[in-house]
Amino acid sequence: MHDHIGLHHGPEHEVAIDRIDPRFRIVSIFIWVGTAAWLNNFYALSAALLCCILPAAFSGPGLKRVLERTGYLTLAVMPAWLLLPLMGGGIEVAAAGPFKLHASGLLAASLLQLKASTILIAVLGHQGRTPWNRWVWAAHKLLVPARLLALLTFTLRYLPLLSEESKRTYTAAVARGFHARANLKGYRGLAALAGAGLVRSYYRSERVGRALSARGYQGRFFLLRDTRAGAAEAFFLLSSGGAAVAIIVLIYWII
Amino acid sequence: MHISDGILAGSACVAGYVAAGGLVAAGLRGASQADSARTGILTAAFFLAGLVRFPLPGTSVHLLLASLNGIALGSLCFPSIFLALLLQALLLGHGGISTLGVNMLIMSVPAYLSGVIFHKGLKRGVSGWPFFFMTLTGVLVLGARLLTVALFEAGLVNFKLSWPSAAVWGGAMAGIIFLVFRFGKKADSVHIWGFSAGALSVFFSAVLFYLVLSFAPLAAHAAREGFVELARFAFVFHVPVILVEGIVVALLVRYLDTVTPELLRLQKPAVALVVMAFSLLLLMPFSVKAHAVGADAYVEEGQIIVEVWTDGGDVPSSGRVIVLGPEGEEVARGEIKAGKWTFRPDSAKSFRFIVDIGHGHGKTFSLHPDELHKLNKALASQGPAKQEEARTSPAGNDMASQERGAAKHESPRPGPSSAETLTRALLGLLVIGMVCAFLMLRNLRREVDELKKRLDKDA
Amino acid sequence: MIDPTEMPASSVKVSSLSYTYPGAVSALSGVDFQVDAGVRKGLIGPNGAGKSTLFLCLLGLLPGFSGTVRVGGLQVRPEEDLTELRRRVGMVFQDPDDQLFNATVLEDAAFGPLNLGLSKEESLERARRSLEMTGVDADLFDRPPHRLSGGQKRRVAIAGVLAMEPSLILLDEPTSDLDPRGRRELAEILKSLPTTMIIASHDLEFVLQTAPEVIVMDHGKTVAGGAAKEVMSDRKLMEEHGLEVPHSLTSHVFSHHFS
Repeated sequence: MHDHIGLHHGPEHEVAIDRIDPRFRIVSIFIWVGTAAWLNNFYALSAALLCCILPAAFSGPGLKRVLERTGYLTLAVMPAWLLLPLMGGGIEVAAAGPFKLHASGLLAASLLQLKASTILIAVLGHQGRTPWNRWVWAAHKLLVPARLLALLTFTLRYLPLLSEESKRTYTAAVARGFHARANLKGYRGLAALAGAGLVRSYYRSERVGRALSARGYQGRFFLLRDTRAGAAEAFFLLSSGGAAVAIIVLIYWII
Repeated sequence: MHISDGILAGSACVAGYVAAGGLVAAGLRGASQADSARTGILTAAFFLAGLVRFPLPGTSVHLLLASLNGIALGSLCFPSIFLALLLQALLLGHGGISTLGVNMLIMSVPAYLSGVIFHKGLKRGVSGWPFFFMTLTGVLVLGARLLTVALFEAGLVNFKLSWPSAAVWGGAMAGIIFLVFRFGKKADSVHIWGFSAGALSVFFSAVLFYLVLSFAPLAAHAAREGFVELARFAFVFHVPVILVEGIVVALLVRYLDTVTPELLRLQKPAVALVVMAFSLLLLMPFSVKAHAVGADAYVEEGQIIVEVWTDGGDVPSSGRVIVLGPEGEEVARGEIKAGKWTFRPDSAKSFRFIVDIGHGHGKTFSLHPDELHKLNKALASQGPAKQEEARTSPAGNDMASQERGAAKHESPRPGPSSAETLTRALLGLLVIGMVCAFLMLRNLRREVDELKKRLDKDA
Repeated sequence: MIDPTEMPASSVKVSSLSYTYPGAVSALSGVDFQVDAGVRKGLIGPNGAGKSTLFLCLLGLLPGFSGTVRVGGLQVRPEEDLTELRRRVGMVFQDPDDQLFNATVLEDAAFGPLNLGLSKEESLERARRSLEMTGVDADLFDRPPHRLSGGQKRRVAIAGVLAMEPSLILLDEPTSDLDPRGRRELAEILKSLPTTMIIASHDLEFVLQTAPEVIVMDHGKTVAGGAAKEVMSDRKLMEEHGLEVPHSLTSHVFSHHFS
């Protein structure tokens, strides 16, 4: 389940982009997300989107996954598509009964969709199938505070385990005739399941804390595989950053 | 209640990240190493708990349960919620990545505050009922008002509940629910404070969501009204979520208090942090205010002059104006030069102006009735032909369209329309519905008591 | 405070150890025992006897105990720097998921040595050796812990402790996830190691197989100790403390199958 949603654990199925040091990939993601968030021009954003699709082609999150995530995105943006054209004001494009669709609203909604899609593709494209601990290490090298990363490490490590445990408890409850209903009885049952999950996590966190202590944990991160910042990384970053700068400069010169 | 990518302008995203970073750093300051493991695992647990679907008649909701984060973790809820939102955005696609900072503020500040309220309330041993009632009232009053405003702005009804009437309706509904719980159910102080904390957290988050969409710089300024409308509907649809979350947090907190009370007292909230949280929150609208755009239109010798200025006193270097007629059709547009733009109308209508100076800043306003009157007089003196044309234009009689335009933003016309009657009838049915709910809940209470008796026998 | 003349480096001596949990629950009241270097000692007793608490005290994780705990001449003082203690004492926890928190098996085994300050190469070397010793296949090295079976997790957990090359190993219910073959193999592994061990377990047959001596605990006190076969054949003693005589020690006549 977790590989499907993008939480990768082992270095087993690597793809091309995984060979690029994750530190450089994080910087590149920042550049593109920042660019997409800042630009408000359709042509610039389309160019940015095309640039982000390039690494996506090399790292293969899979067309199915990209479409799925874009589908979720569109669902999330749907209220904007419904409301903005109705309220926008300006030139009318179409009318249906008392509802009028305005051009400015349609434009605003499509701008929104374009920006959000660009950011989505930027992240998906750079992600590859790098296991999460390499990302954490890269963030550490990029000066993200160690305590925050320690928190993240434990969250990611125990997420699959807690999810399995809670599924087991839910199955056990269903086997005893529990059915989630929209009344106080159903809510109490669900609250008890959620509460039991929290309690178990709490006790586990105490035990893990002791195990950490027993193995001499000092809060440092280690990465065993060698990562070298070489020519490939330099090329990657330069081309990525260069493309973004080029787009921004072109837009401001032309417009 | 997550703002997705692409809605806010770049400056708002950056401001959000800066404020969020500050809160995360403040939250991590007192943390020891043992805390890292514990908080990390609990964050995973809260993340999963937020995926549980609670059924509602006809649908189901994901609860936020951020308030539980605030209650259990105190100031560590800031990094915890930040990471939970990061994972949601990366793994599940909920929310946005550029807007992560802003979303984190919307979720975590109310969560932290409700945690503080919960602990202080329980510690002082004060009865939670007044707070419970106030929370309910706030939610329902705002919900009632926003529901009618949202429907009004969408053109579906022709009136808005004024604040006093919203207070009456909302207060009445809150009162009924309050009475049901006060005298119909057995609840102890943990339940009551738990409900208040849970409901308050979602309530504040919804209010912040509304404020951000109303005041923060947007990527496309023309979308402002649309987003404010969206925020209104979002608030109204969240009212049942607020109530459900209140109930669920009350039940959860009771469970945890019985089984593992230490879990609820892990972190002592720091009062200084509350002050910091508030001030960071205020940062956002102030940064927008600094660029607030002022604009006005006045009539001079039969032409309309639109003047634009910014709060700092300077004149925007570029920008454009779009003029709309009373039916919303575009009449003219132009570029602002040196803060001014002139427009020569060939008829006197109640124009609306959209001023856009880029980066989501701008202003929308209507021509003032006095100015319209001046325009009418000026055009009349310019030639009766022009005035005739205006009178018989397909848009209808000037005065009538002016009234309709004005009425859209002012007090309701005398005499109810059919849509209005329908809405009022629905609200009335709602009250009757609440009374029936009260009666039904009394039966439910008997069911719950029987269940408890059976469980006690088993134990 | 290492006094090598007094005791060999890998022996344990506990005197009058008492500990009360913050909730005023008394867990240990005056525990006394000794484990000589290189000896494997079983620790048996009913639930709630205080076995886990004792282990936590030995690790220095419970500050505020009274009495003395010495591991090889080093007195355990939880308030002080415990790095030296960590080098000497390792514990295999009851639930392997509690101690397997790195991203892959190899990384987890190397975690201990890395924390002790060893170089990357040496940590990896030790990790590979200890994983081999506990019978973990090389193609599992890059797998994340949550995709291992219970037995595999158990082995990796033990390997992680072995990689730190401690002089004393504490094992808390080491056979709880293992099938009979796994138990046999674990017993072989433990018997092949020269390290001093204390094995707390409800699996009395396993204790009998691996530990020549046992200590019986009940209600926070040590109530008996001595040669494993002798202590565990004492039916009255065992049943008095919520245990029973392991099957292989019961006299094999018809009567015991039908009583």
